[in-house]
Amino acid sequence: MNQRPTPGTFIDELETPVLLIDMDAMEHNIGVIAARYRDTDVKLRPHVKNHKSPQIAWMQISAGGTVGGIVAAKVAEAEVFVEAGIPNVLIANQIVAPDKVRRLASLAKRADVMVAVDDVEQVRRLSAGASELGATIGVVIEVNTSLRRAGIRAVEQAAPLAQAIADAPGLRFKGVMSHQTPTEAYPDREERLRNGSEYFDMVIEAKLAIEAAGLPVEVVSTGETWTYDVAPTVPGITEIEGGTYIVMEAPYAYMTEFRLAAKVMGTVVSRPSDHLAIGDVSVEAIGAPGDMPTVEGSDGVRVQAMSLEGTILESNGPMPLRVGDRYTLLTHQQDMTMNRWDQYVGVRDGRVEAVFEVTARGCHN
Amino acid sequence: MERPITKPPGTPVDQLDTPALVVDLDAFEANVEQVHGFFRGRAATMRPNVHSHKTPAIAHRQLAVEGAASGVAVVSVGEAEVFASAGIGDILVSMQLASAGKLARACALARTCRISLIADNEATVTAYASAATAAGVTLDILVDVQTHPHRAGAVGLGQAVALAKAIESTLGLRFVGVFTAGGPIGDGSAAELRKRDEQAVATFVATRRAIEAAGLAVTVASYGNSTHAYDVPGATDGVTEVRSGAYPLIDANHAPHCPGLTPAAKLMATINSRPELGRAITDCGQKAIGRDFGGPQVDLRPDLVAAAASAEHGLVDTLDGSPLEMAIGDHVWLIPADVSTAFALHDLVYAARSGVVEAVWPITARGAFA
Repeated sequence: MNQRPTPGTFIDELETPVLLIDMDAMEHNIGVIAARYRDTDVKLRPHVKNHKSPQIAWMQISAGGTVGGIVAAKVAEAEVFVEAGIPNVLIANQIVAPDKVRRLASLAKRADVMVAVDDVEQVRRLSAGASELGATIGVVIEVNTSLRRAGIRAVEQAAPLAQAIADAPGLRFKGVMSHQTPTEAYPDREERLRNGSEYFDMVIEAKLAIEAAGLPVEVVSTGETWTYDVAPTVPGITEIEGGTYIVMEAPYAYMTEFRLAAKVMGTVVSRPSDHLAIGDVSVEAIGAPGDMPTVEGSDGVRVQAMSLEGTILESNGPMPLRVGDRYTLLTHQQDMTMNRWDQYVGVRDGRVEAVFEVTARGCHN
Repeated sequence: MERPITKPPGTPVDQLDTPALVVDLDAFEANVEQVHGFFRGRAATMRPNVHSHKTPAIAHRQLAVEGAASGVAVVSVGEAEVFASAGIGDILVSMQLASAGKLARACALARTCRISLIADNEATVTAYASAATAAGVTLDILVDVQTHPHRAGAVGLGQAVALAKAIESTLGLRFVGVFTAGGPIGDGSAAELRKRDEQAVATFVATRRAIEAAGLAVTVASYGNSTHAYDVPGATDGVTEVRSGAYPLIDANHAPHCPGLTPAAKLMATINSRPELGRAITDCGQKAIGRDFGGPQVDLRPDLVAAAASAEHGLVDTLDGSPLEMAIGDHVWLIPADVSTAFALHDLVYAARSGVVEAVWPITARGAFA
């Protein structure tokens, strides 16, 4: 039910709340990645869970420096991007339900598809589905390196699992992958290299163990935006998974080469007291699972709480915002924000330039 | 848009694609009966705040149960448009509107159904009036009264009375009464929370009385945000309706405060990985269940700890790291911390009874933020 604004509309004329994408900032971020990876053997595999828009995925791929494909988190997401012509998808997740495995196998007949496993039970299920449909699914072994989420816990598990994949009908063993989230901000590049390397070590060890057992390892997929510049210097890595960089988020502001590109603009609807203002951006329109969003150009105004109805803004001194004034919130977790919207509005020089459909929003199946 | 592998009514819920948002109809109906039953024979009625589920099919089922008011509450004009399209004829928008475009849309709706708006300041009243006169409609306006320090609303009796008079004397507007949104449940003992709610209700009713003493008729006194204590305003003389959102579906955050009501909206997830003896990884992360108001709980398993720590992955842990009996491919049922957040993330909800799908309902007002 969102109204689609006409290109050329001034930002101040937009109905609120609205998710804005600063086109200059987003294009700048894409350019930083393209420049870093254009002449390296290591390439970037853009994670599309962060923007969920095939149009933006193609902007990332067209800019250069990528593997020519994407990483997705869910089968439903992968379907959206394959339908939009993306030829190569890594699903960085485990797929086990029989119906969903069939769906994945069907997708593998139309695109180059890889999926992650950490257990022979997943291998058995994938092989059954691929064989049933006459498809070949590429498989990588997920290695846990920081989150204690999915992924094998010991290097010794890698070679037997790789052999099981190689032996399974309908599957092709491709390599290894891991995912990392930084535990803190690392403004210093050397420190980032040191901390990132700790995470990379185990995935490289898994690769070496598998090769020592006689199986070739074609893909070593790891990293994240926060290690985009240090991971390519680590021998053995073939591709970096990066998603956050596209619009960035407040906790990554220390990576000053990128710019914050996603903002939610709202309108103040009530000023009940001297230090309090109520705005029309609800928690559902931005997602605030951790820290409260930051008020851009804050003027001493901060978010006291996000409610189901709106934003509760407070100030130390007299509240500068009046009823009808606009305010802009910077998200602390961009992919939560992007997943709440059916569209986002690309703006440049104060006007609407493009409206992006968030085609894969809600694709959690 | 959500893309599950769709299955028809009659399908056992255990065969649904996951993560799946499922409403247990028996529990839903029992919750509605419990709460609406309280209002039967009383002066006040229950006006469902349908923002909590955004689903017209659920709203109609609530309104069909005696004890309900004649309509619903929503938080945006976009939501009002969805519920008006679904045939609901009485809609209260419980956020003030501060743009000409939204006011024009509200006035358009007012031609075909009853639309009530709230105001806590004179500039807003002026804007409402010019939109109404331009559109040639009369809008029903309630004075928003602040009863929680971090919510909107007129502060103090004098301001509320002055505002009511201003509305009454303005062309295009009809003063109909008072409105308040209580705060979140908050911390404290049950007795402390109840005392706080009683004080808020007292402030609210005192405001109503002050407006009446000034010679104005108050036909609506709408008290909101009170699933955890609907009986406090519901039994108070001077309150005409209570607005609650969570009562039909109940989430993990409300359950401890609502004895007699049962969680009715749950997520069915699949175990995708068993990387450690005491840990399972599910396919239900923040993007499917939400984490804005806390993490989920595993249904009927207080011995397990669930988390939606990641965007697309959920965790299920034993309390002490002891072996977990769940296998890859098993299903696990999760109760969301906040039901409104969970519905904000889905396009479809499955309605089931005794473990069999009865209907698939679109969450039509999802994303209708503006």
